[in-house]
Parts: sequence; structure tokens; C-alpha cells
Amino acid sequence: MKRIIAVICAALTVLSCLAYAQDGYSGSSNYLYDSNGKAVPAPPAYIHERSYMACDFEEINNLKAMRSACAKNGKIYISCTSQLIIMTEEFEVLYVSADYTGLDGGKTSFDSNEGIFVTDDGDYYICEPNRSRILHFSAENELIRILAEPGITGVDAAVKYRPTQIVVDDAGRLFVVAKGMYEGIVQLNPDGTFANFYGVNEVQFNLWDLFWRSVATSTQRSKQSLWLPTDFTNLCIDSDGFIFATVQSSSAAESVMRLNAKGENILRVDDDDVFPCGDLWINQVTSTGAPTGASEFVAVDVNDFGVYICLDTTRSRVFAYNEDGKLLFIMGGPGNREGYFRGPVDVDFLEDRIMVIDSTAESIEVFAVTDYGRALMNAVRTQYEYDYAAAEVYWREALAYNQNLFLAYSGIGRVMLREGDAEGALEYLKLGDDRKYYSKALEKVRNATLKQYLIPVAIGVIVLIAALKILVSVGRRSKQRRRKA
Amino acid sequence: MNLKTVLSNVDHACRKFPLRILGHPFKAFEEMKTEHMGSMGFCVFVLFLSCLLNVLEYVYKGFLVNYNDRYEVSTLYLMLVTAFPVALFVTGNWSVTTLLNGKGKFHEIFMVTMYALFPFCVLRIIGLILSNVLLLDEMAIVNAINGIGVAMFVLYLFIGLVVIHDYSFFQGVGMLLLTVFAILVIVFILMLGFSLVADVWDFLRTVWRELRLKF
Repeated sequence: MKRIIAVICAALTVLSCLAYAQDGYSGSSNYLYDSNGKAVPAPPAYIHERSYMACDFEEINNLKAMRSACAKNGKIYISCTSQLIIMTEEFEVLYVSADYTGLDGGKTSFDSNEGIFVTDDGDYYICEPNRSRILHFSAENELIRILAEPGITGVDAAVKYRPTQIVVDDAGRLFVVAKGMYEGIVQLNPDGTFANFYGVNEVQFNLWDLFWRSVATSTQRSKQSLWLPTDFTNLCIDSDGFIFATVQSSSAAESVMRLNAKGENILRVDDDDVFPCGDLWINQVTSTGAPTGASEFVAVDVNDFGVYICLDTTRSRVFAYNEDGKLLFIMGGPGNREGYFRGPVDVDFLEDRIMVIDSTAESIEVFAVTDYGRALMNAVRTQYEYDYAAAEVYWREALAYNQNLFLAYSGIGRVMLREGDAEGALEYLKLGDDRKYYSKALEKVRNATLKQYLIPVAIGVIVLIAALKILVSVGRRSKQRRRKA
Repeated sequence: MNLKTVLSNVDHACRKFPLRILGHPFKAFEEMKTEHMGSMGFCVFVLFLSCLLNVLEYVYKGFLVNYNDRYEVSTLYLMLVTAFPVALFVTGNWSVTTLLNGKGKFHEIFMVTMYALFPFCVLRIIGLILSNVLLLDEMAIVNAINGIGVAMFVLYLFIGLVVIHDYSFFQGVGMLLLTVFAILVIVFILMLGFSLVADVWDFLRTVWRELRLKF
């Protein structure tokens, strides 16, 4: 018996090694992708500070079925399926409730709560998909209104309105993700009536698919999956009033979007860069038990200086990008250990910490910024604020921790170019793989070189040619003379 | 043979004859066939040069257009990537044209290919140098130069092959299409052969291992 157990243990150990051998750096928060899409080691920008379970709070019985969280005005609002929890950013519970007082004065218990959104005034909205409505509460936790089915036009009547995520902009317009509504995000007027669909996802297919579908018989076609636009999974709104939306689909090219008022994706990426899509090295082998397939983003949050973090459910990792769509850091991972997640559902910035809601583990995971992470974030912030001198200092500090941070090289290079040191900038921009600015620096260096050497070299060449001509003709003449003699 | 004749031979092979091909391709290729103009040594040099250029372009192409991974360079692989297609093309073309009344010999096909490739090589060197001094917006020049190079290569290759095989225009087009087919067949047979050899090798190794375990 003992021997069998030993053999099984050994086999499991070997298998677990395989699982981690698949993608180079599949631990937690210890890698980055360079501009060639190669995984390179990196120090953690955020490290696990504390896990909060239900037993850490006297007021809370359980943290079952957490669905969504929103951090605003120094408070954290957590929406569980059948309760609402409000706490401070220091995790002191302010308010817990499993029910609310309706407009008619009767008590109703929460049912199937999903997304929650808090406005700047402290008002908050909770989605109740099973009851097809959104609840609007005041900052004093009193129900203000119930936003029922808004009378959506142009949709199959059989599709039930099931709101799951919501954001509200400064003008009071509501943007709602409804399950099964492939037309896009539902936009509501401030009074709760239907305005239009917003940010429609196009159906993605190629010629090859089209060919096969046209060849297929109707019976075959009925068994194929439908071509539907991808579903939005989560929303958040940035300080400029643009809406960030995540899309859960392994085939979508743009899995996180920044939508303008017309519903167009205006997420900034470089010409030669890929759209933010989480992991670039994807494990394709299913036999090892490690997760396979592309990253699928289910949550997004953005901070004051344009850094957005996306939660990937495929590998339970958090990816952070700056406003240019450049990868800043990666943290988390699947697992039971500290700093790993089992079933993460939402992610939020808390000042200089990051909170991840783990629904399966029924815990709130808090990550604190490291010295490296602080330097990195400060560099991004100062660059966002056009304070380039300060940015250079922070970039150099971050670089001291992480030599693989190509973003820092290009950041320093850009500052040097701005300060007029084009020649020094060339080196840094090359290390940072920043071709656009390298070209600008090269132009300066080249023009300076031309200005310095063009005239002397041109004069030199002319003189040389003239001298040669003269020498040749002199030689010829002397030859003739000799012949005559 | 004194130095002067060697120099003049080299000058003829490397400068005069390629220039003659550039100016009068039909005449020059005809002379290559009938009067044995052109030198085999020069052709081998062109092959080596284009192999070398492949490596140089991988490493030294201007940073602005060079997306290659500088930490992973295989010189042998980059050289083979040039040399192997040339070998395939020459063999494929020879095997097709011998069956179809082509007058060209194996070494003539090779020489035509190399003389057609030479202007492209020169343009590649120019493009390589330019890619290091031009800006992102001006890279179109490099692309244009390379495009011209490819067009010249195809044009002169076609003229040369038609001349040495004594074909008409449409016969020449047909020959090229058949050559592509022949190349595919060769590749298929090579793959078959390699997998067979690998299987046999595997078998022998297994037998050897079994024997070793037994005794």
C-alpha cells in the first residue's frame, strides 16, 4: 500500500513539474513580456499583503458568492448574490444588509445581485438580473428608484433583459451590460428610458469560415454554433468619462476597449504593437492540467493616470497596462497559495493597493505596492502629467530594480531626446525598442552630422578630383615631350 | 599567366559581363552559351554573397526596420535558407527542361540564375546601407530598391532561361510553372526520404538497445 502511495506521489510531483514547465514563468508576478513577445523575468510590482475572509469581520457571517466590487470615495462596496457589504478602505465594515426597504415601505431581500457601481456623490446602483432591474440607492443606503426593463426596441422579444454590469457617467447616463444582448451595451437616459445600443461588437469571421458554412447542408448548419458577436463582461469609467469594457472571447482581437461617446474603441496602441491581450505565450497542451487558451478578461479598473488593470480568468492573473497599451506588470496566478487566486471575479485599485475579489475562495485579496512598483507607477504618473524630468528619475529607479523593463529605456530615451541629447537618446530608445522616437532622434543626429561634414567633404572631393585631373594631364604632357625628344 | 591577365579576367567576370547582361540580356546570355562567356567562379561567389547577405541583413539591417531577435541568430540556418532554394530551383528546372527539349545544361542554368541574382545582390547591399541612415518615413526607398531588385531578378532569370533553353515566350512560362511543380515533387520526395531514414535509424537504435539490454 505504502509503495503505491509513494508511486502516485512521485507521479504527481513529476506531472506538476510538467505543468509549470509549459510556459516559462508561470509563477506569480515574476515576469513581463518584452517587445518581441518573449517572457522575461521581472520583480513583483505588487505583493500579497493580506487575505480577508468572513472570519476577519465580526459583522459578516459569510462572503459567499461575491459578484462585483467597486471602490470609490474611500469606501469599498461589495455586491454578493444576496447581500451588500460596504466597508472602508482599511476594511472596517460600515454597512451590511441582506435586504432593503422598498419604495412602498416593505422589506425585500436581495436576489441575484451582480454588478455594482458607485457615483462620485456616493449613490450606488446594483444590478438584479433575475428580476430584470437595477436598484438605485442613495449614499444613506435608501432606495431612490427602481430601473425596470427600459423598453428596448429592436431586439427579439423573447430575450429577457438581464442587467449584469453598470456604469454611470457624469451626465447621469447609464451604461448597462445585459446578458444575452448581442447588440451591444444598453445605454439608458438619466431617467431610465432606453436610449440606444452602444459599442457594438462586430461578428468576427473570415472567408474560410464563410466558405465552409456555404458548403454545409442545413442539417450540418443547425448543429454548428451560431455566429454571435462577443459578449461584454465588465465595465468601468475613467476620469475623462470614457468607458472601459472587457470582452470575453478567445477570438476577439480587442479584448479590452476604451469607448468614446460614439461607441468606438479609442484605446491607444502603437502601430507595431499588439492590442492588450494578457498572456502572449499560451499553453496549448491540455494533458498537463495547466490552463490552456488565450486570456479572457472579465474585469477592468482604471486609475487617475490612465493605468488600467485587467483580470484574466483563464490563468487568474492581473495585467496592468499604461495609457499607451504597454504592459507594466503582471501579478497573481492560479493556485491555493498566498497571492494566487482560485476564482477571481473583480479587481479594483485602492490608492496604492490592488484588491482582487476571489469568489471561489470567498476572500478579498489585497496587494500592496513594492518599492519597484512604486517607482514604476510614479514614472507612469509623472509621464502622464508631462513632468518629464521627474519621470526620468523614476524610470532610472525602476530600471535599477528591473533591467528588463524596456518601457523604462524608452521613457528615459524620450526624455533625453526632449532635453536635446539625441545621441544619448538613440542608445536608450534602441534598448526600449521604441522605433518611432528612435527615428526622430536619428533625424536630429543625422542632420547634425550632415551639417558638420557635408561642406568639408564636398570641398575635399572636388579638390581631389581636380588634383587627379591635373596630375594625369601633366603626366601625359611629359610623356609626349619625352616621345618628341 | 601574369597578374595583368588575371585582373582583366576578374574585371570581365565581375564588371563587364554583368553590365553586358544588364544592357543586352539576350545577346549576353547567347554568348554565355555559345562562346562560354561568364565565369563559374563568379557564380559561386554570387551564391556565397547572397548567403552572406542574408546573414548580414538579419543582423545589421537598420534598427528601424529590423524586428529580428538579436539574441537568436543561426548563421548556418540563414545561409541554408538562401542556398537550398537555389539548389532546388536549378535541379527542378534542369529536370523539367531535359524532358522538354531544353538546350540548357545544368551548369548553364546555375550560371544564369546567379547572373540574374547579381543585380539583386548589389541592390540589397545598397538597401542594407541605406536602412541604417534613413528615417521611418523614408524606408519606402529601401522597399522600392528591394522591389526593383526582385523584379530585375525575375526578369533576367526568365530571359536567361528562355535563351539558354531556346524556348519561346509561352514555352518559357510553361517551363517555370512546371519547375514549381517539380520543386514541390522534390520536396515531397525529400521529406519522404528523411522520414524513412529517421524510421530506419530509429529501428536500428532500438535493435541495438535491445541487444545491449539482453547481453
